[in-house]
Amino acid sequence: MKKRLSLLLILGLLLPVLLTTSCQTAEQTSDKTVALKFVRIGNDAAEATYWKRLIGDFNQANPGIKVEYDDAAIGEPMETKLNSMFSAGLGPDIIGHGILSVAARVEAGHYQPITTYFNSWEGKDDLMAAVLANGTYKNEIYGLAYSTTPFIFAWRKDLFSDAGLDPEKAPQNWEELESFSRQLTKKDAAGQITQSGFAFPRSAGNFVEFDTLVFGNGGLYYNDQGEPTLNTPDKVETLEFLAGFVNDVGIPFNSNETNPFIAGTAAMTLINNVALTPMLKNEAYAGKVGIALPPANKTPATFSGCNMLFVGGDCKQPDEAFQFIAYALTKEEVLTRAKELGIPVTRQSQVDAFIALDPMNAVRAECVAKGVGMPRATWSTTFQKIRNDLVQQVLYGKMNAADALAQAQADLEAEIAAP
Amino acid sequence: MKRRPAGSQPALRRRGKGIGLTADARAAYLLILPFFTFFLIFVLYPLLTNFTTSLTNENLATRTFIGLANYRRLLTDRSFVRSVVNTFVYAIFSVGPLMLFGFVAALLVDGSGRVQSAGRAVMIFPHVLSMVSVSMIWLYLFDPGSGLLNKLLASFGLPGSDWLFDEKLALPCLILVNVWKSSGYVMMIDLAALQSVPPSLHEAARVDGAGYLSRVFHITLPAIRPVSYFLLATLSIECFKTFEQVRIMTNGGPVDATTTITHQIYMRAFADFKMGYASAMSVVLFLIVLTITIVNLRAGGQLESDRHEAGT
Amino acid sequence: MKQLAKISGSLLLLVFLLAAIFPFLVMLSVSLQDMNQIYTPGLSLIPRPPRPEVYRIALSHGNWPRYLANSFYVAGMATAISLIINAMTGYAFARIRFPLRRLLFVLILAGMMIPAQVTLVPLFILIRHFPLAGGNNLLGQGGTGLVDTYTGLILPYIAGSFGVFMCRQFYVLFPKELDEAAKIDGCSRFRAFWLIYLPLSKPVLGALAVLKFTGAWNEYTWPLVMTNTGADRITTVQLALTAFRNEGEIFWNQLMAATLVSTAVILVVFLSMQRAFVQGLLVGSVKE
Repeated sequence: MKKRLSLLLILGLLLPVLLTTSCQTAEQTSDKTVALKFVRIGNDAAEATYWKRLIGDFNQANPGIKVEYDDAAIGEPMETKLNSMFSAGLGPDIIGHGILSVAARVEAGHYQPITTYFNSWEGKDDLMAAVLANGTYKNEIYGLAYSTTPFIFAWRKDLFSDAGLDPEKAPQNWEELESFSRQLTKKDAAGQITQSGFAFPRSAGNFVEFDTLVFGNGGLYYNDQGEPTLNTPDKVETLEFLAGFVNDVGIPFNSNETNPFIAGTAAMTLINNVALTPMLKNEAYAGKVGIALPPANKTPATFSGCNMLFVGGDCKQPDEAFQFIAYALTKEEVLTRAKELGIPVTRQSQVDAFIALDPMNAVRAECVAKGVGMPRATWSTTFQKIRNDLVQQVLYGKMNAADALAQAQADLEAEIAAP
Repeated sequence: MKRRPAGSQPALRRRGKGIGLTADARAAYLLILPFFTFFLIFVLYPLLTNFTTSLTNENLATRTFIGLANYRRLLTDRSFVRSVVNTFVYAIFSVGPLMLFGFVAALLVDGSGRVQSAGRAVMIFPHVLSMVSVSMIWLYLFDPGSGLLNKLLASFGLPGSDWLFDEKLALPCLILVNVWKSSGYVMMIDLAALQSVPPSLHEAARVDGAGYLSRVFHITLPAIRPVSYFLLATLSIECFKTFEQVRIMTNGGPVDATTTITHQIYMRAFADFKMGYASAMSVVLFLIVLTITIVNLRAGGQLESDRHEAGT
Repeated sequence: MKQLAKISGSLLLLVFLLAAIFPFLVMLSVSLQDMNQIYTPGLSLIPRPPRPEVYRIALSHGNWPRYLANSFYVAGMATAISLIINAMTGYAFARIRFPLRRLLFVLILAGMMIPAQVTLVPLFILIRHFPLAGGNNLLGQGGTGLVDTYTGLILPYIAGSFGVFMCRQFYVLFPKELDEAAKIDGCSRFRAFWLIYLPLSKPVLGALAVLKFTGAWNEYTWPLVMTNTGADRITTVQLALTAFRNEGEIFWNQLMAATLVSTAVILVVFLSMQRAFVQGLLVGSVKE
């Protein structure tokens, strides 16, 4: 009996050892084949299918190279995955990531400069200036853009007509934005808003809708020295403008969830290009939705996110890695992504072909050209939280605009200075 | 000199030249060895690494020793202080209702009838759903614009609410979801515990004329005391570590009204990449939870030798 | 009076059941709706028209049979191994007095008090440098260790303290006459555990099995860093569920459908463990 128990205990200890010798992964690639690991931000099925097809084609066209695909959901999952991999010395060779990551990961050695490769690349004069800037940090190029997500202004033409407004004319400036919003807001008998004049999020993972208005007022979040500039008069003006009407014309929502515009309960909104797609495909809304560059106070501008391909800092075969990047950024592939996934093109030469696919693409291309992204600074993620909080403080009436911005600037400076 | 129950012997005793372990102690160590092997490697080691990291400024690029600077910074971190308050409120107002509803539910579904059987399966359902799924469903229900709750209220002519967007209601909403989800867990464990109460005790009491409620209070509850304290301890620990729900439903908002300690840790570690600072927060959390748990178990007499035990 | 008590008891049960089940009904309803209906304003609980093909569509993204099998294997192995080890350890802490017992127990409790997020990266590095695995030498250098393997996924789940705590609290409930009788019969502690305690542990092990399985099944962050999702080899269900959204949209109907399928598995596990919960096995064990 004791023997049986002892046997059981020994088994209990040996089991993990036995398990480790089974189910091995180690892919035995021959010495001649270069194995590259590619991790992309975002794990939605449609784009994953596209990348797997592209990788399959690339591997076939380049027998000495084998690219392996992996992905992670947008946001902290992607950061967690990358951080764990780099900490354990398993950093990927090619990374598809956004603007927010550039400064921090370059400083951490997760991205390596590809300026020399870029300078001898066929597309170097073709990449749109706005998106090239996104991948540049301290005068070196690290990432080349494969996808952009501009924020656009959308409105319901039928609801405009109902309210007596010209359905083809979007508001051209802030005064019109506010006055149209008030005209388009409908309430029921109990005073609850049933139709929102202008859908602006009450909370967000990333309050880029606010950034859009800031950029449209000629402001930026940092100066040439890379220091944060939150507390400037143009931003006070923007925030006060918002606080003056946005709560009167909207139902609260979180920008990570369904925008009331998509649900049909809002007349105007600022929205991610991708998020608008289901509505444009819905026959119920055919011909009723218009898009435009967001109304600005000073300079037409909008927020535009951008995903780029980087070469990993630990990559030992950057030549082959860049070969893959170049393959993914040929004119044909750029247009294919536009056709299959609706991603606005990043190469200037393809803009006309892009517009030919869909007349609405003219607006999208303009938004990309006039788009500004997240700050390219090591403090960009801290900035994100502080900016979110400051907008909420004002929208919830806890502080006025000037105080909120002053506090945000102080907080951000303190965070940057912290050990 | 510790007093030992009559008939027991010390585990360690001198055997001639050296100190030897009794057969009992040897058996015990062998029994706990497999678990402790895993525990040491996969839990204790990362835990200790975490402590050392909290004394550095580790981020993506660097790691240098900075002593207690992180801890000093915590004292003036508005969001962190708020998160501590929120976490306490959340835990206090979750644990009570959870213990109550779970216990009542267990009493209701104890038995081998078909109704009870179905009832068990139905009530465990919220708990086996992942917190991610639960959060998404309740997000849908709480949506101020097109959510179910406001629509239901509207159909009765009542005004809707901002729910998760209302700073005063957001935390209570999260507490509600937590109680809804985890009552099944309490029910299941209480149910298992109820099986260990000998029916003979209930019989004897019934013969003496004790009513149902009286029997519950005077026989059942005392009999399952160790399990109740287990539930109290584990529920407290889980409530203090609450995170997934906050991340999905409110992301800590509005204006930090629902941020919890673990949420702060997560944001600092995985969004800001300030691992050193996040580790310091986790050490604070650890100390809070350890204190509460020890006080809890001490009060319930769970750490002492129980009268049920036999010594060597 | 007894009738009244019975009726109020039934009513209370009904309230509990309704509270527990209505979100399930919402999920079912959403899963069968067309996306356009989901986006339409107004209360819409009845799918018009119902689209049952959503289940086929959702499960055809990627390799769902594989994902379900992977999750089942990982959760199942973790549960099975945990059950044995936790029961042994809980028994020792509950029934045997040995040196350092209280200290070791508090240490085990301490293991539950750190959120998993902060131990993630050290744990990952540890798994990567696991000696003699995935191309590593004796010192754990050179290869990828247990990264992207089933074993690497399973091992940390076994080290959880929750099960030990639970088993200890249950074993404390057993009357001391049990140990004394065993001792008189000349049973060693191992034998007592194996022959007496284990057979009587069905309720607690049944409950623990459900909890451990559910916990391992619903894990997301650990599989996220451990798995190469592109290769679809050891991808688990929770990872696959996040694919039902992209940057702008959440495909609610497919997401709900896939979630229901995933949850059905756990319900099956629970139902199979049900019999363990309501057998009064302790009765009759101690001869009066």
